[in-house]
Amino acid sequence: MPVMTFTDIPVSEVDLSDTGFRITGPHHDSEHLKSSISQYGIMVPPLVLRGQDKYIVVSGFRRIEGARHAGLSRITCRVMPAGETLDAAMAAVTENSFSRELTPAELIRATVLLLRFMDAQSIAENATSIFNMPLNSGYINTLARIHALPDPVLDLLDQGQISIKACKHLVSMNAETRAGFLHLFSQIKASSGIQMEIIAWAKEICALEKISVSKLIQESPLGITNGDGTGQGGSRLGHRDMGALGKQFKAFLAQRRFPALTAAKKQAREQIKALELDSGLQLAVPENFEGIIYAMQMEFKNMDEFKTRLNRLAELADLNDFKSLVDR
Amino acid sequence: MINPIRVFMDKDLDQTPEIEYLISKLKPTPEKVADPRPVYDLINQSDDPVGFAKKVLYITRNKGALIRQCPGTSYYTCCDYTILHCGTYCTMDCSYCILQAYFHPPVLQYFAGFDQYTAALDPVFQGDHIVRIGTGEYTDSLIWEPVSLMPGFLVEKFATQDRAILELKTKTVNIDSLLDLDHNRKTILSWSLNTPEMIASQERGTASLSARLKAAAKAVSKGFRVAFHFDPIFLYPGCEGAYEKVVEAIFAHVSPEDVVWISIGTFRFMPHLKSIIEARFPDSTIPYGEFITGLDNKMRYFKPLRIAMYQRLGALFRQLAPGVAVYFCMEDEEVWMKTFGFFPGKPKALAHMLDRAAADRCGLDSRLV
Repeated sequence: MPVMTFTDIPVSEVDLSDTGFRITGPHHDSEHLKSSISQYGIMVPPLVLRGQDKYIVVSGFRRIEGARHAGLSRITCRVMPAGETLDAAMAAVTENSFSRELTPAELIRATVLLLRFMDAQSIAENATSIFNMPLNSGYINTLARIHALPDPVLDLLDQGQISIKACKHLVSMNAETRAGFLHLFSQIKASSGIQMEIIAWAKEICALEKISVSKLIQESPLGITNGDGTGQGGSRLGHRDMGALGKQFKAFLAQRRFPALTAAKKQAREQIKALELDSGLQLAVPENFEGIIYAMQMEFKNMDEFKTRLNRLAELADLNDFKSLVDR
Repeated sequence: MINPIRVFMDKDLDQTPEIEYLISKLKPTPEKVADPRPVYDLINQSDDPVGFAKKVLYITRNKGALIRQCPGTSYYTCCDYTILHCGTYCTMDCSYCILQAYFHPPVLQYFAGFDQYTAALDPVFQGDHIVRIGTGEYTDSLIWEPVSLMPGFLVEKFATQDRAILELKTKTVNIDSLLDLDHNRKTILSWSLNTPEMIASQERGTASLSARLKAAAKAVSKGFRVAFHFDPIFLYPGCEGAYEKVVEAIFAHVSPEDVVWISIGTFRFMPHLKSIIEARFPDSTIPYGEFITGLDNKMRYFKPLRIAMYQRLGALFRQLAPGVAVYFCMEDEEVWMKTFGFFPGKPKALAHMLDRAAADRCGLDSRLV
């Protein structure tokens, strides 16, 4: 149990540049917090470690930034004695973990912070007390390997543009492929499941065509640059646009990975559209064209509608578009 | 082929001539075990159990059913094959092999006990219908030939009756000890075939295409009937021409009259095999074909692509060997119709077609077909 004292200290004596214990990402929006501190002050005292001539922040970076922003000259902090770095690391993690769920990037930073003082097995054994959730040593080591990936990865995790699951796949890739994917995910926004699909399809296309991921991206809609080298997915785009780019890129991959299937699905869609079925009739082709059973669903409200749609169904049998769809 | 670094044997196994022969052919002295646990533990401790298990032989008796029906699935048409379960796993290393994912853990097992085989087969030989039995479902039938009397025992056993045929399916050329046996045409020696480039890149430790076909010709010269299996067929640029050349090569080595049947089937796999292939064969791109999830939940090539390939091969078979029974392993009505123009859709219809082929080529009792 770390010993700490409540002490009123000058804000200027807190070293905000030492981020050794920082778990929250730099992109965390703290405008509301700053405004709250300006109006009501700091409700929960930050935790600091006594350093040689300054205090090192353990937990409460944003609160102290808010205090500076509000022009406070002194704040009450919980102060840990100098040298208690293991206790400080533990406190930095537990304080965050038990107040809210850590984001993926925070979980990685927290894990790496603890790995400075203890091994993965010890962390795993105490994970529920430290992280408020179980973690096994294999996963802890994976998180450390993700942390060792090039810089953009934590930024992308902070911004929700890449998932831990996707990062796990990047860990085992060579540097060039990894860089290609990190560049890709900096331009698009997609759910974790779709990220995995994108990684798998892109890897498979590259293996089949013996090309690099960068080359594949270049050949995709994302490869069309805006003149400033940022591509369609340049940093000026908002989340909505990045989401649309993600969908566009996935469609590009699907077409390239499954050309015959994509073409058949497109053709079937066009053939069904050409039938001009009214809204009460729905035609479904066999899934992936593997089975041989087509399904027609008819909805109706009354006898008149039933008869009308039944007649429409009967007419279909004579339509060439329908025949070519079914007799594929 | 079988060159284990460790051999385990059940401690209560009788020292029969079969076992003595087997032991005389193996280098490491068998370590006696009371149960399979030490074998499982040894394999499970390996970083690559699938690869390591190929080097550990376990001699035991089959404690389950020696004769089983091929599992098949409901939607796709099955040939109603019967399996003689005389061993498990394989010493060769094919990237696509389902055995990598089928056994937990994989164990190279030899099921000894001729008495047990006799007891299981005699009722089959006295049955009232034709039975096609193979040993190549859970292992390669002939990896065992250099070290075991079993293949020869089975050939001679089947030679004594006319209601069942034995199919020994292999990617080896291990047939020498069988050639001079009195087989009475009741053993079909069959080879799984692929294109030379697929054999070189996906079938580690197997015989070359040319060696397999030469072995087939040698078998035919000794009166054996033969069969061929194009399964799995891979779709890749230029595959149509490459597989056609293999078909042509078959009939440059053997006459259609000596071929009992030929099966064709494109690559299909349980989804979890993909990660095994990726891990064990990192240069292989075979799991990256244009696959969809089939109605049996296996990954299959998109159907029009399968059909296009089958139509090319079907046309060539009609031209080169019109009298040979060519069939699909696990395909549906649409594929049959679009390739061959007929569908053996009634229950046991495909089985009947193959029984007829076996009766005609191997001299089985045709009244039972």
